[in-house]
Amino acid sequence: MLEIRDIDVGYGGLRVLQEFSIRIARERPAAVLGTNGAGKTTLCRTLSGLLPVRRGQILFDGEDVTALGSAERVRRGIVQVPEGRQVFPEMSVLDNLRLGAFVHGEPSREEIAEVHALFPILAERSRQNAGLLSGGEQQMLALGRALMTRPRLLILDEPSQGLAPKAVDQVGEAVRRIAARGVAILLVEQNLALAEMVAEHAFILETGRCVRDGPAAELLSGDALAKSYLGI
Amino acid sequence: MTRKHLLAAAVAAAIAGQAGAAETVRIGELHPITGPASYYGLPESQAIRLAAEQINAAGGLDIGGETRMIEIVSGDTQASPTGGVAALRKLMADGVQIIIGPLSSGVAPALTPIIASADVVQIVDGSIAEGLTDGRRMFRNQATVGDYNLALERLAKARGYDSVAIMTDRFHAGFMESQDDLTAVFSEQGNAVVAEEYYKLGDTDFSGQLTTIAGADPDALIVRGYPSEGALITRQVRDLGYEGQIVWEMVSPPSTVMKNIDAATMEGVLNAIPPTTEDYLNLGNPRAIAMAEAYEATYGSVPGELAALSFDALHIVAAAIEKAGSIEPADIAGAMATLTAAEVPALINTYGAQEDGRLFDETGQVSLPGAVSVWQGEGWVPLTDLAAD
Amino acid sequence: MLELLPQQLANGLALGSTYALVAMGLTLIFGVLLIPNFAHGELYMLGGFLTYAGVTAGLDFWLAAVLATVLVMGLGVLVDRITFKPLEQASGLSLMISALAMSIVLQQIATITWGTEPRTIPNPVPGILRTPFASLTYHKLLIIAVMVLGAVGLWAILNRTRLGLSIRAVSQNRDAALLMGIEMWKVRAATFAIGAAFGALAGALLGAAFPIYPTMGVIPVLKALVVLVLGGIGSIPGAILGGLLLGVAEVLIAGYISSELQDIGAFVILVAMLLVRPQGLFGRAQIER
Repeated sequence: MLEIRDIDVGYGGLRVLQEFSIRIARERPAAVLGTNGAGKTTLCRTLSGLLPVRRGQILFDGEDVTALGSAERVRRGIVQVPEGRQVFPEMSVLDNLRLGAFVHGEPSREEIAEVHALFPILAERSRQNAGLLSGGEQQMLALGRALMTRPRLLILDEPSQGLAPKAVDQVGEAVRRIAARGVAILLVEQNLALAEMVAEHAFILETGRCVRDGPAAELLSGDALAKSYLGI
Repeated sequence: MTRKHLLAAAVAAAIAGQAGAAETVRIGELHPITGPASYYGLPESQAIRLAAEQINAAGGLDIGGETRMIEIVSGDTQASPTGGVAALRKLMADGVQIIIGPLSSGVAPALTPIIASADVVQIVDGSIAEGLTDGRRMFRNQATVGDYNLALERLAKARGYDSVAIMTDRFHAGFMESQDDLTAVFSEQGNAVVAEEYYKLGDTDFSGQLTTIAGADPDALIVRGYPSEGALITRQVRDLGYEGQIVWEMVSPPSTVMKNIDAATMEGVLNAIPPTTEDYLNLGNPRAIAMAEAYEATYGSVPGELAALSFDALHIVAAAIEKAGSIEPADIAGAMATLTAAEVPALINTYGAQEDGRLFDETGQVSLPGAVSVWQGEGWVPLTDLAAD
Repeated sequence: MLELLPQQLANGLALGSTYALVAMGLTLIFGVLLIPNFAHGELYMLGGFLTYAGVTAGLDFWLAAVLATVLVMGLGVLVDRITFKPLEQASGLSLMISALAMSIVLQQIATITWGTEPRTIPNPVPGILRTPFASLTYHKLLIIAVMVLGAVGLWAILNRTRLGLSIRAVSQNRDAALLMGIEMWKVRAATFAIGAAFGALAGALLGAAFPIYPTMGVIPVLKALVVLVLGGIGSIPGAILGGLLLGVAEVLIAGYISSELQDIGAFVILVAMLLVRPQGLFGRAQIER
């Protein structure tokens, strides 16, 4: 589904990702785990085409997408729910959903109804400005908006950030349902609880390198994780 | 004497002789040849060159029995004080000691202190700002702003305006300085000043001030500034329904006026300023006509409004050099101070003579009384009877 | 004096409409792209000159104005490509310097093409509407009408079209907009074209009453900056209301206080606004980006 081969990404003189490689299969939702500053957001922005790679390749469905712009990647189904939700605060919830569908034209009633069924709160608040929603509601909106984009790969950048534990559970539940529809999931997180809920395979990201990977259940419970991820 | 000495003496003599034959009288002229005022400055510069060519063609200058040609050296002020100072310093560095100019009232005061402390003689042919002359080294053959106002004051008196409004360009130093004197004279004459409003060069909307003026409905509205704004003010105040007499106080080429207003709205507007080249041509002044013909033949365009002043300035300098029989600035200045109009037969402008017949007064200033002209059709026509409508 | 008030207010609204028209284009570009396009004044100037060129070539005024506007829209896109696009990662200061450089370049091109001497276009709508309270030339009424129509048109584009949706998205959150698959170059081009259209229209209309010359755009842009601060930077309603407010204030100061204080008055209002409501009439207290 997605294969990242030896990419280097950086800003100016700073190398954030170094010789970073992972492979993700559609049927196995994946999590990339790392602490602050490990390069998580950089990875997400690179995958969406907001940051250029200096070296290496990104393959999606076997095709090289390394040189494609962000719009073309969105069209192919690489969709991201960015860190901090990033809803359009001064637009209605409905307009936010319309923007999710932007590359496919005006969304049909059915498409919106489908998202409303998954996230009923978005139907209730349809005409309200997105900026007035709570953090958890905004996260639902960001997920709903991403669904409108008809994702084939959904990248989630720290969706648990700033949310109460109950809201984190809701997000996890929603992501599982999205995965159940056949959407590949790449969760980039430092919250282990959410990763445990969602992921079947996990990668550990440390100072820009993938230092370890394996089945999520193994990796998240074992000593190895405690050593490498929590830094004990 | 050895052969070596002979040779050296011969070489020295040859150099001296050659230098003597080729030596010219270098006269500098400072005008805005480029920049926003080039439509005044370029014709001034060209009029000076024209006058110099004519004098040279007629045999040059007779300086104490020795014949010398005039060489004009141009400096471009670009109508800015810094540009003017730079151009003057360059002329002086090139050894020029006789300066004609500048045009702009913004440039002239910046040059005065430099000229006052140098071995240079200057004749101002453009600026009307007060206090530029001293009668020793600095002279002017252009009117002062006070002279400008004379014509206006006589017009207001002759027509017996009960009320006048004044609209002045507050960036024009000369007009702003003389505003109080002008209103004082108006009040004395019984022309009540009912509104004094201001604007600035480059403004395009005058509705606030003009609504006030139109509301006061004075017999006459006097506009003091530059012609672009003058035309817009005239048009806008007419749009607001004002029907009184509009009087301009500004050198205003009809081409510039016509760009901003239609001829019908301009019809009957008066202008009170010293006569321009155009006025002399309209009055049938033979020297003005001859100059204009030569100018057109040389440059392919009509001379500007101020070309006659520049043309005169060069002839005054030439006459002073011949009278002094010297090209030393001090001698030329001395001769200029005692010059009479009769000694400069080529003059186009009709200067008022001083009591003792001299051209310049004690301060180095000519008398150039203003006159009133009226807009008819597509240009200005001299108005001979001030009281007549 | 008070009986002149309706006339003075009409004068102020007419003057303010010209400010609003210029300011709308400037504020749109700044609001959406965070680009201080000081070359906007030169687009305004070129709107005037190209209309002049069209009329001189024998075209009808309206046709010439429309053609000039279309040309300047294209030019606006080009200005962005040359002036701002290469500096995408640079600071605001670099953008400002680049914008000023482009202003000078465009002024020089106009000077070389048409010279410094002012030109004029014959007024396409001569005549005056006289009412018992106030009289206004048809030309001023035209400017007010175009300003209102322009504002309605801009509102419709922003709120009723997909292009408008994408422009609003970029203005609220550029990164999120990119993640929606919105193509930045399209939004940039559209925003610059629409912004330039407002400048060009203002130049074409004002050129029919006032002289057209290469540096004619300098003062309107300075006024538009004042309008932006008054109305709230990036706000379209702010540009309209700020423009009208500035126009009325200038006229009332010139008419009732002193015409010597006309410019000082505008800046007193500006400083007062900065003290009382620094974000302007319609500005957001904080802009999150």
